[in-house]
Amino acid sequence: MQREYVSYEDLQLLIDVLKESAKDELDYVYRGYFTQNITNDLLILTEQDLVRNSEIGLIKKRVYMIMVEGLQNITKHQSKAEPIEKPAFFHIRKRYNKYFITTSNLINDNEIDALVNHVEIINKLDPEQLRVYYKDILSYGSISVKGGAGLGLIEMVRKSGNKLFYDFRPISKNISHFYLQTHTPVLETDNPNLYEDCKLSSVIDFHQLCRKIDIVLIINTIFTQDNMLMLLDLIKEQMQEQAGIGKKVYSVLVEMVQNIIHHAAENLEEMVGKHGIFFVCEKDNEYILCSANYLSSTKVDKLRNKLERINTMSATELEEYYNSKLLDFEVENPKETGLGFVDIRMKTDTNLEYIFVSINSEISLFLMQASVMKLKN
Amino acid sequence: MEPLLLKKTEDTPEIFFNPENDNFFISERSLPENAIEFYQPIFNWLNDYFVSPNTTTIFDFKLEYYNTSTAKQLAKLLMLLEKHSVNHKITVRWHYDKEDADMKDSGARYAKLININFEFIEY
Repeated sequence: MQREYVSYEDLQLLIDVLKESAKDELDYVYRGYFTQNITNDLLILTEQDLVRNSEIGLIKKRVYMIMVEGLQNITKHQSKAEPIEKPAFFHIRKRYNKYFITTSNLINDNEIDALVNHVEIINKLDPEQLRVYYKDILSYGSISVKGGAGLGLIEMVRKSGNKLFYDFRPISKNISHFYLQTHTPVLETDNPNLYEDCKLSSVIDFHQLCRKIDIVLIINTIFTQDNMLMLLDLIKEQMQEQAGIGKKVYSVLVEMVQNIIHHAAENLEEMVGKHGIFFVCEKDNEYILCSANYLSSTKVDKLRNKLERINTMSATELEEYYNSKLLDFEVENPKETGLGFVDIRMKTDTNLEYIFVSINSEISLFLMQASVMKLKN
Repeated sequence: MEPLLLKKTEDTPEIFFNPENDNFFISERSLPENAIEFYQPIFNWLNDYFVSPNTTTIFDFKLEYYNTSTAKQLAKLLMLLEKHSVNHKITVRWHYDKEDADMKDSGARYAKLININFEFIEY
């Protein structure tokens, strides 16, 4: 059966956005319905990064608070009304010491004016005026039928020390995406080019790309066993309705991510830790899991040969190869079982799909896609 | 002999080996970063146990999920049992979820490769 892999052109577009440009780079994307557990997992994932990067208390607190408010906001306003579109979108991006947090949910076009009005008022107020406005709303009541009263947006401004950026994109006759972004710490204006791909307009383009290739999740960070376990939790929650194929997806995910943890380049220039990218696309009949990690270009040929060899094996040869590796205790190396790729090949029941992209003369990016078919009902 | 009891964690299985009650159970999930390190103390314990084992020993494997690095350590564990089954009565019971064909296949593979009494239990 033909698998719907992400095309080379689309992968290139994604890599252009996600490939390591800053040492401290970070992206988390989630597209879908936000449950309490998913919200918590996203908070914990980000918190692990904040702790690892030893962010100072103030930044840590601000990022966390903005995320809480932003996530609560979309949880409240996410709508399953539009069957062709995922209810909501969350994205946190870190580049060069700044965090950009963007959310999106669907909105009825007749609600846009009131919302714009509200955001414009908030954006004009100074901190003291904001405090008063906040208290006024608390005392005199709500401006929204969802009971949100718009307090969340005020909190985002107060906690980030920055104004809100917003925009809309229509998706159907009466419904639009409402995008909301804030960042912390406040940008200095001396080097705006550095943050070109973090601006709201760039993130909106990125969201449109995610929609086009049906991305539901992206993790672009330093991988550790800890964040892999959170990722497993997140996937489990996300795939609740697909219980039957859950384990296949986990097992492919674990092999892909542990491969990053064990083999990603970490001592190359500009890199700290086992940096990698992992994302999931949800197609009509399958999940596409994709992992990417950097490696020294000198290792490309050897890896390519290994993958090619696995791809050319018949079912019997695969079985024999697997068994021989399984019982091979000659060299016991915790990082190298020799089973990872062959296991993915056998579990997905199709060839390994991969490419190498040259980043510079010394470093390449190794990308692999695996497709897990959904169960037929 | 002292039982071997390891509580499950997020990425390591529950180990419950208690000769007094004829209980030898491995359950939950196993996906540690370093499986060699995790399983070594278990091999050590088993080698001590087989100095004077119970008349019959039944090992229950009821794993929900394990990674490839664990797969190799399980092979090693089963081979250790195979070695001792020459002189002692040992049975392996491989439990699998009826919806999890991969887990059933993995058990069947071990049963084929390793010469030891294997039983399959669906749940």
